Amino acid sequence: MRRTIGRQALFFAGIVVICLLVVPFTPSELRWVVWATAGLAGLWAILFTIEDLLRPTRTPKSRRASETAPLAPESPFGPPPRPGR
Amino acid sequence: MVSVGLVFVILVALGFDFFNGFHDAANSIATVVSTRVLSPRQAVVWAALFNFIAFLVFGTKVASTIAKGVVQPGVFTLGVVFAGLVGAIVWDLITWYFGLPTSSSHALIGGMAGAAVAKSGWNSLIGSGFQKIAVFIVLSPIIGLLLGFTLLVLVLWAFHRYRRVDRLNRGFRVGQLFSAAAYSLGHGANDAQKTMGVILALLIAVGLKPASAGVPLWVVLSCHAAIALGTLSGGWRIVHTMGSKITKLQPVSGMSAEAAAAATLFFTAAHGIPVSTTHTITGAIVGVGSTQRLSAVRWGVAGRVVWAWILTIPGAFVVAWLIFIPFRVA
Repeated sequence: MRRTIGRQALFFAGIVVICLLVVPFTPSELRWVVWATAGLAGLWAILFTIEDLLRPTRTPKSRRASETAPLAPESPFGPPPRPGR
Repeated sequence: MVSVGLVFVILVALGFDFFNGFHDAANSIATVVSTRVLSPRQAVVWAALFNFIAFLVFGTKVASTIAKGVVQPGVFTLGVVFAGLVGAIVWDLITWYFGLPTSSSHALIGGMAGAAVAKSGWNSLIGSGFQKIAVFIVLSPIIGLLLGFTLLVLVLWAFHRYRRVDRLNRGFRVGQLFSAAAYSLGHGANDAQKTMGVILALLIAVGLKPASAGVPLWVVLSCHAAIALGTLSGGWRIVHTMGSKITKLQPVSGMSAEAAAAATLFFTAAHGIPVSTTHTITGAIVGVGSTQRLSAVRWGVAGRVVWAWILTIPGAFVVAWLIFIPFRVA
């Protein structure tokens, strides 16, 4: 079973890298802006990484089973009710 | 004494401001129009109103940065300002012809720098001023992107159990009126001030104002009036590009994108940092689009913004440098 980090986590990690590259060129009185931006991007990168790592992965065997299994008639996690109901 | 040349260059500067409003109007009203909260005509009036009253809310720090923080004030002459302005306008036309999303603000800064270097060499530029602008060329779309993404996630998280979708959408539509107004306020404050800075530099150069002078009220009012009139003149023809080409917008995402871009512009205006309003709103729209999935964003359009980052200042610099050469010979 192989878990991978998704594109969104990498996207936000890339933003962190850009911010870190910009830090040395930023006037000292505005560096907090770059750190805050990097921090926010880093937070999203971490949250997406955790979500990717915790997401259950489907093995080929379980995928085959789900393809052949009949649909459950009632599910507690069915689609949400229509608006207004 | 007020010369014909001075009046002519001031008129060119106000014309640049007018076309900035005309071109960038789409940025402030695109989301309101594409989500059908307002008709295009109502939207341009709404945006123009807030473009104009921005002078009541914000100071003139951005204008001071342009007048005194990019090029050594002693270098400005009528010819330098004229060549800088025409360089920016010509670069805007070149990029418009080739379909590149340019930034008038960066073109103006590049143009002024090019003309100043043509007159007095590289020492005429103020390194620290350029450094601040260059950093925020990169940062402002990123801040817009992150704020847009975060704001939309928070709003969706706060309302995800609320089932009255129709009522919710109505609320977000009203919210969009306020977010569009806030963005127009930020746009007016940031872009009108750039022209104010140019005119202030000109007035100092010809000796009508001392070097320590602030922006005169008539300059403030005329610049805000020019950008508001430009907005009113119908930049809504390019609404479609901003409203639907980057990503498809719903009222909630439009509201979040505009609020995020407005917050970024308020911050930069308060700190006297001239940024591209177009790049900021583009970053915010990419941010809200990224909440669905990254493939919901049309990265080709976003990538062209990156090209505009790289090309605009050097491009306008070279054009203005070439335009100043006859003045140097004369």
